[in-house]
Amino acid sequence: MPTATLKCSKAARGISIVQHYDIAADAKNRISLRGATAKYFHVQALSNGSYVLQPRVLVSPDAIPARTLKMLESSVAQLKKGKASAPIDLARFIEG
Amino acid sequence: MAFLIRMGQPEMESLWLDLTTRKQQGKLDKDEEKFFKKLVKALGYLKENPRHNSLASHEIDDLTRKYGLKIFQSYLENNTPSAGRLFWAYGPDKGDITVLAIEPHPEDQKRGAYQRIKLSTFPAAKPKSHGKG
Repeated sequence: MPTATLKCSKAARGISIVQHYDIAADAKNRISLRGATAKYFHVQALSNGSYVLQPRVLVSPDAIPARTLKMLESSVAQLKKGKASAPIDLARFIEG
Repeated sequence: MAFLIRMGQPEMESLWLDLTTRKQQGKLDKDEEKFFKKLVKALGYLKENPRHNSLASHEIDDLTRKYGLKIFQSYLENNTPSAGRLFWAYGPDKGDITVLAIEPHPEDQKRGAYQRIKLSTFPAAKPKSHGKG
């Protein structure tokens, strides 16, 4: 049966354990990461009680993704030449 | 005054054609159907009044400066930037609005897109002695 798996990135293949320690959660169920080098993490709680933390970086919500920007650039280039599609017909799709 | 809505070429035009064709064939999946509904609603507002409150349209100065053309951004959902954005400009003729781009990009929504997501890089490990407890 086929299973969905994420391919390991080149960076992930070279992972090695640099620290291992036992730790207890405090009264509020918090644990401290020793020498954490990232501020934000994506947390996965696994069914076997394990947790996987993956470092994350914040991205501005106003930032425009590269693919959208590429689309925008080609549209602008054509628009400057006076080219755009024929007017679209929305009436067919507007409900009510 | 109602505007004529046009799609930027080539990507926006082919995206619109793809969505409308599949909509008519009933081949949009649940997420695409939801997205298309929001898109049509936003385009309807844009056609009637680009300054409609629901769109929260505003000019993006950085893009205007970069391309030498006034570029506006509108939200697909009222005051919810994360729901998606439309980028558009007036023209090419008077009374026209051209939709230049859309976010999220359709590629982002395709099945399997998660396989292309790159995790942020692991911070470089500092050579330290291994802690034991």
